Amino acid sequence: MSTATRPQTQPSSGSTGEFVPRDRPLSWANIAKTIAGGYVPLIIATLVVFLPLLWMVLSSFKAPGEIITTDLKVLPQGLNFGNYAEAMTTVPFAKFFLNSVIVTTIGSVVKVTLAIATAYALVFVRFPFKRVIFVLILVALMVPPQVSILPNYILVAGLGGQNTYWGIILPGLGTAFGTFLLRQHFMTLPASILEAAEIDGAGHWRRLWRIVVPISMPSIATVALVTIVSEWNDYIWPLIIVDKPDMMTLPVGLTLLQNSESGSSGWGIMMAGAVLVVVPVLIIFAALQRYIVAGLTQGSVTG
Amino acid sequence: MSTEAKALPGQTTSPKPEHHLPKGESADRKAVTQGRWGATLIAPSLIMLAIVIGYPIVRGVIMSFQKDSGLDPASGLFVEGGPAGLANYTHWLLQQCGAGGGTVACAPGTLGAQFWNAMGTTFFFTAVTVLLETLIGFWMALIMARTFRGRGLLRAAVLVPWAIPTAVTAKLWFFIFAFDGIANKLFGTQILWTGSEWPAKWAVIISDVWKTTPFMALLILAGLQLIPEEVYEAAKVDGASTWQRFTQITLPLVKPALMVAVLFRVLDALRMFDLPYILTGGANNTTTLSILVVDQVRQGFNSAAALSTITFLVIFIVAFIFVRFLGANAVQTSSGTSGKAKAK
Repeated sequence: MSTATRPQTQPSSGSTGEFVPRDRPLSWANIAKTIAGGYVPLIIATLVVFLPLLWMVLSSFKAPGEIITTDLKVLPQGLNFGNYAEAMTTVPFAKFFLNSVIVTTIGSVVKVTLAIATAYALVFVRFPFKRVIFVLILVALMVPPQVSILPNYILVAGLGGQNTYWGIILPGLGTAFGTFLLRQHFMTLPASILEAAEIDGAGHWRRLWRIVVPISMPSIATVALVTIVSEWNDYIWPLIIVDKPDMMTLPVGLTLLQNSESGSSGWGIMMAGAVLVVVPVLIIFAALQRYIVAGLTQGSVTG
Repeated sequence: MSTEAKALPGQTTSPKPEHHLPKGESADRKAVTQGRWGATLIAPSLIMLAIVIGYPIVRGVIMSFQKDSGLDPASGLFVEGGPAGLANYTHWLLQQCGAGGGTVACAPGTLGAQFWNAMGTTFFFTAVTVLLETLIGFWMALIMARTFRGRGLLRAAVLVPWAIPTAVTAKLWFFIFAFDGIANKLFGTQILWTGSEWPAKWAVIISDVWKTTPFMALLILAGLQLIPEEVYEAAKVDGASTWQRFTQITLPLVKPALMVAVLFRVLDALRMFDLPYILTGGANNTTTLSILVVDQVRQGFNSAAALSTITFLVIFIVAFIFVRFLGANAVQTSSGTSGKAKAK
């Protein structure tokens, strides 16, 4: 793990002697350096990240007259939930929410399950053409989704998949990323555990679900979080395949809100809608974040 | 296929499942069982990839050589047009419009005339956003790599913009950049951010940098953490300055992880869609190739297929250049990092 002595700290050149003396911890130079290279940029970065979000939340509580003002008013006059009520009634927000939950749940479960099974087979099972299959999966990772959107549209629409859940879910199920990431992780598992299980007579199915999956939970959680976030946030495909408001997912529905509520009075409602879209994904994020930060910083993810 | 060529060496260095050598059963029976399990576990995924990635690519390329005529958007029928040769491609690349692959130059304002603009815009967005995200991300990663109170919390917190739907990000920044919005008020300016070319471009760039830099920072941080602390200690004992340590240790050692992160970001940025689509609707020269594809789908499938094939080739060439000349190698880097993680 890294420690406090990362690159920009402590100029150690310029002094004589065979050992370079470290700066005393409380020297003025050191304190100034810490402020310039440490906490101040951190605070700025945090502010840059959160101020726009804070502005979104604050604005969602403002009445139309408060948003467009001549002088800048930061805080709303009170907790005004009118925008939320308006957002939920102007468009079928509850239905959008339900659609998003269904699409994200089914899509993520299928994707993560497929990724686990494929990665397990690629690492622990011996069968012919394994290397070729892995390279194919890698190439699939490189293919931009944009290329497949149009043929997918014709295929799915031709099968009657417009405005259906399976139509929204199906084209997202090609899961190269999760497979790739989990394979990297499975290769680091100690072989002895699996050998012991094999001697005890556990088949592949039991070894997979009873041993590999439980001890790989952090990595699987990382894959799950990345998958859930990308499914929940997916915009271009649901936009194309759905044209009935009843079947729209939240991100697509949010733009409907803007279209129906144009003009200055729509801003507060729009921000209220945005908050409603963001909150569920932030809850999941908060629950899984320690896994993803650990998973990413262990270097198990490269993209 | 450079990816394949590069993938193979990485593959050979990866640990093989030697621990599955037969332990009492005959090797033949074992091989049969293994093969069956392998097929069972891997088949669903491969079938899925074939349906949603393999088939569309082949279909898209075939379509791109067919004519649009006889198209019925409602039913999705498209085959009546017959072969078109390269007409769909010359339509975009040489800006030739007119029925049946005519040689009339496209009228200004039509989708066909926007191709090279969209290409330029896409590359401009890609270059500027990836450059900014890499520089700021690297700086953030260097800071986050240090020990301080609340580091874990901070690492999670900066990831929040990444978790927010792009549609929301776009709407949020649309609000901030509105004419009577807070950006103009804070800076005392009267800029029509989404109404004219350069402010609109910068609005897209700022939003994208806000959304994606934290993720970039975390990917770079992952690379930084793989550098053993002893290397720095040794350099310090040898009297290397901070700058020397940065350029001679940090940069070379973090380069593989950095290149992969940049590669993935570039591929992602080249197909940017949501942000400009919602923020500016593609107006004022912010139409990217992806937006052009989606707009074209409404006017003719086969032209759109040609356009997505061109886009795919562009992205593929960029990926190829990265892998071949800049040493971004997803497979090798990952095998290397997992090996180091194990050693730790």
